[in-house]
Amino acid sequence: MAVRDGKMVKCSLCNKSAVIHLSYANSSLCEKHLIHSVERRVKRTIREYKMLDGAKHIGVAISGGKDSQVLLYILHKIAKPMRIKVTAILVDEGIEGYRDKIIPEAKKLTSDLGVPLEIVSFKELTNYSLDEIMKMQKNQRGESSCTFCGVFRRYAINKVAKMLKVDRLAIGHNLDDMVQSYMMNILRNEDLLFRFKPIGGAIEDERFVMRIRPLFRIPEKEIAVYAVLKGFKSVFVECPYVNEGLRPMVRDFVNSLESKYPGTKFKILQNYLEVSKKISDQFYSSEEGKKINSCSICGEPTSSSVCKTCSLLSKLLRKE
Amino acid sequence: MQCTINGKKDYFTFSGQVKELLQKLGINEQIVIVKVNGKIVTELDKVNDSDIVEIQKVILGG
Repeated sequence: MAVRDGKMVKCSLCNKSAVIHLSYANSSLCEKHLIHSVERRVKRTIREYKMLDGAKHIGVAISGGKDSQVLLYILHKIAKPMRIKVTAILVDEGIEGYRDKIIPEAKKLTSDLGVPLEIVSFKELTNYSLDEIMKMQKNQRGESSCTFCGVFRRYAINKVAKMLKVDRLAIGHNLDDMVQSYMMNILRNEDLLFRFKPIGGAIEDERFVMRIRPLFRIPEKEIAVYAVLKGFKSVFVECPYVNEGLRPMVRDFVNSLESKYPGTKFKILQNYLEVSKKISDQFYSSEEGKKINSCSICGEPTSSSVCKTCSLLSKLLRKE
Repeated sequence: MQCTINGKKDYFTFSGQVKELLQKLGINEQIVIVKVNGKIVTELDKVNDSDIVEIQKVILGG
């Protein structure tokens, strides 16, 4: 329970001033206890889902934003005593005024931690930056920037992860990302539920590096406060395409629900975990679930004949 | 009260809970970090006219 002393709210675990109030738990935490609480929950998630069992080399996908900075920092702290190698992978989408501000910060953090950094760009992999793609899409009812970015980013990260021979690929998805993705799946009537599993991906195949999401139970605000308290930079740099697509609307809707009914995000996550497990069991026992093809254009694994990256690129070039 | 919202400085009169201030400004408390006189506070903390408040949006895309 939050304790108020005059006008300042005190930590529920000690007498220091609180830096965050957790409505879902009816408690408040000071700097020290928030940092401890976030790290403890990440460790518990890793243990519970056996995310690092047998791991020798973790690739951490970093965007330079708060989630991936916190993920890299905590994973590095956990992996070091376990003698697990950590490499940061940064995808440069080619967004002017955004990514160019973030890359120096990512370089600084990885250098401070002593973690190698591998940078790959959309331009190298597809011949186009995201800015160029969006210019080509102008005045046409094409896919949103987030669709291109999400698909190309997954493709790029998987490709680099395989090149580096990492055996785990850590993604900084937090509780809010998981809940928004689940809601968007419902609203679009898509069957991409397995893509956001805490461990593993949409398709289980040796050509995909096993993905882990150690932050999936941590609310985004707690990660943001953790990042600010740790002095991470780039926390406030906003992607210029952020207000495009369905996600911002879903984000606002879920946040309104959470404010009115604390604990809503955790309940939606729990529902997702239960539903996705049932669907996942059914899917993997079916013929469709066992069938993995190679993309007829690039050779990457896909459940169709052409992977989503090549399909988007083909559509784009037809419109050019 | 001096109140800076995402880097833009403003002055107005307010006394009450941070949560009420955010509601008045139409900002959801889950997407921002609020600092009062340089220290991070919770939405249950109270502010008054003599405080320097900084509201920073931290839930961003990308």
